Amino acid sequence: MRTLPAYLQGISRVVVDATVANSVLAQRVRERLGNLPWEVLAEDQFLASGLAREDILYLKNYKGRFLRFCPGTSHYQCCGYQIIHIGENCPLRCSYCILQAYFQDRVLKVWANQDDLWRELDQAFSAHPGRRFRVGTGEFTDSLVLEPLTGYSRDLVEFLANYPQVCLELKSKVVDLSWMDKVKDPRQVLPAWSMNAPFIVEHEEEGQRATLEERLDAAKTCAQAGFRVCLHFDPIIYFPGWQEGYAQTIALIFEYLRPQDIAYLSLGSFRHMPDLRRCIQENFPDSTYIYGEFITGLDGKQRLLRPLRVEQFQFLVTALRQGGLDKQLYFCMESDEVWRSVLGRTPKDFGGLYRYLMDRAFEK
Amino acid sequence: MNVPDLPNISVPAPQLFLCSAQEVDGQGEWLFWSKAPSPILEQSIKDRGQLVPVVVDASGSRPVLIAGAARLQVLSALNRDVLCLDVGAQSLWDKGCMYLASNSQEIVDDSRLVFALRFFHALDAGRLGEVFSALGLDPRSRQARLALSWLKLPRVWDELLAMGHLSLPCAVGLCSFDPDDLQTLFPFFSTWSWSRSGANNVLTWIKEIMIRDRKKAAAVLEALGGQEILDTQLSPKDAMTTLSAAIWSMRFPHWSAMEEKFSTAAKAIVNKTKWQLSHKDQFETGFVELTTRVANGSELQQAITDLVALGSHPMWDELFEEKD
Ligand code: SF4
Repeated sequence: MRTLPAYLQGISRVVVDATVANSVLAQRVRERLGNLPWEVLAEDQFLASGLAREDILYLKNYKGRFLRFCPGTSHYQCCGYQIIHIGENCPLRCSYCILQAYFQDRVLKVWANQDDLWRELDQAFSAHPGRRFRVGTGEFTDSLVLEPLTGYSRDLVEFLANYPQVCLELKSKVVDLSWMDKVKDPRQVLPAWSMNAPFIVEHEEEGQRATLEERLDAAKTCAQAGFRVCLHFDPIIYFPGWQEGYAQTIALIFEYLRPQDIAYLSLGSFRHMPDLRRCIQENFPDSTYIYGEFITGLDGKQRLLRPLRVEQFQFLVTALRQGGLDKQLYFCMESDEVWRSVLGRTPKDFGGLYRYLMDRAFEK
Repeated sequence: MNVPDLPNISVPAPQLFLCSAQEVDGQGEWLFWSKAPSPILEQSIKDRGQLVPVVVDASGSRPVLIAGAARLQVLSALNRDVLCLDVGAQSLWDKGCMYLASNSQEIVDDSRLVFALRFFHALDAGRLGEVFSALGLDPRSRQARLALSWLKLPRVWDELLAMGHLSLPCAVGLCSFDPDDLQTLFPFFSTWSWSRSGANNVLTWIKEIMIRDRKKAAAVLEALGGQEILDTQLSPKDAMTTLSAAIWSMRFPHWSAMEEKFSTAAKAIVNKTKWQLSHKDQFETGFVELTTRVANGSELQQAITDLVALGSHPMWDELFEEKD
């Protein structure tokens, strides 16, 4: 049996819905976690509320929609990508993680009825053979964090090989490249890693996440194998010493990657709803960045005062441009005013962010 | 003690008797809602005498008042005897309950709730359910939960609640401070009477500055000149406004600097006109808004003339970050 990465060693039991207990995915998990207690839930049974813990892996027969639009936000430019929903929650502990506020519990849920997923995706993609899709799995979980147990991304890239009009982004804070050998056309997959200042990675990304160097090294491996990668500076956090911190990370990026290795790079300032703020206060009392100068944005979310956001964006963009990145840069959920004052262009200038990123994702 | 004639009943029953008002001990801690008698009660007792007996425990060397403090006070001032109903020896808890029952017609505002809970909580926190039901209050209600939070504060804060210097919802903010920080904050709330939102804002901002800068409340208030504001001759309203503004500036230094810069430029631009200039959306957009009101044609003409003139004011450059 392979040794599990440290971030999965906290799992102490597996619960599975009876209807998916014999699924390929459940069998695979069973092989890999055979030593753990295994509990099957009959069709009318639910996970007891006392079991709402992160040490439980729940293989579920998911009844909802698998393919969805990213919720985006009003008044700000959204990138319009689509989510393939494969599960919920994450064993890592980033203080700023939105999932704390999204979900009531921390149970690691995986949708094990993959046949339903394949059916829904096939319907969606086949219904519009000429339409391109930019999809990702890193919205309600980390795309790769459960990969050693589920092999989900491996299955997904294999499935998507039949749909060349689909480009899949795998966004993560860990290093797992076990899916790579299943990819037929590297242009169809965009491995992506979150970037931040070393101080933030150190203090605000608890759990056994990969270091920046490990993430970039994995990105380099992908680039050398013919993939283009994505990087995401999100959330950018305002803290004492942020300039040096972000400068260091940007310098590191160019030690590992060439501009042409990067399909796109997003920049997003830390934004939050009151619920998330409460979670951070309770779960991460040492995280003081939430006491920054936040105002209520046009979408009702708290965001850093605009000149401070712009100051940070300008700093990062200048450094990234010096390294040779420009066309790859875009903002996550920002106003035209911020786009103009930092990048000197707005999404309208290049036909909308959705189209632009689609073009970049499919650029050959 | 003068014992009046009572009906001859065989079961032990409360006994009525008369005694001098000075003889009754009216200092019990269960008299938690005691207040000065109303002029109406004073007049009524003067004109018609005591119509309802006070409740006492006469089992000891002198009668101990359980309920009826206002009547006792009036009769004592009039130097009259007081008609007492002796209910015999009672536990502290039961004395409190009898006091509550005999004041059941009183309106239980936030401070009365806290005074009552403070008394019973010290005796047996596990039995507070009985008190809530005697008060007709759902223990899960927001008022009940806030009152229970308030009990975590030192008792001196109860008086500020009774004086209306603070309101019950401030319990949440106040409880987030350590005892020594609370002591630092106390003069700022004992001196002035705060609105609920004013107090909550100030408490929230101070707390957030403390966490952000890893400082104690004393250091924060010293840095923003809290004591000087406390000592000023300003009216309470102006002093509170000054203190709130100072705390806000410390909590949001960039934002407050932007507000100040904007207001200076805006004042200069619309000076001596009826136009008003404001910004929108907490600077989230670069838009500014010019407004005025006119009542007739000549005011309209004047407004247009002023608008044309202020359009070329050099201070606009201070406001617009996007240049033409
Ligand atoms: S890696 Fe992503 S999903 Fe996991 S805790 Fe961090 S932010 Fe949340």
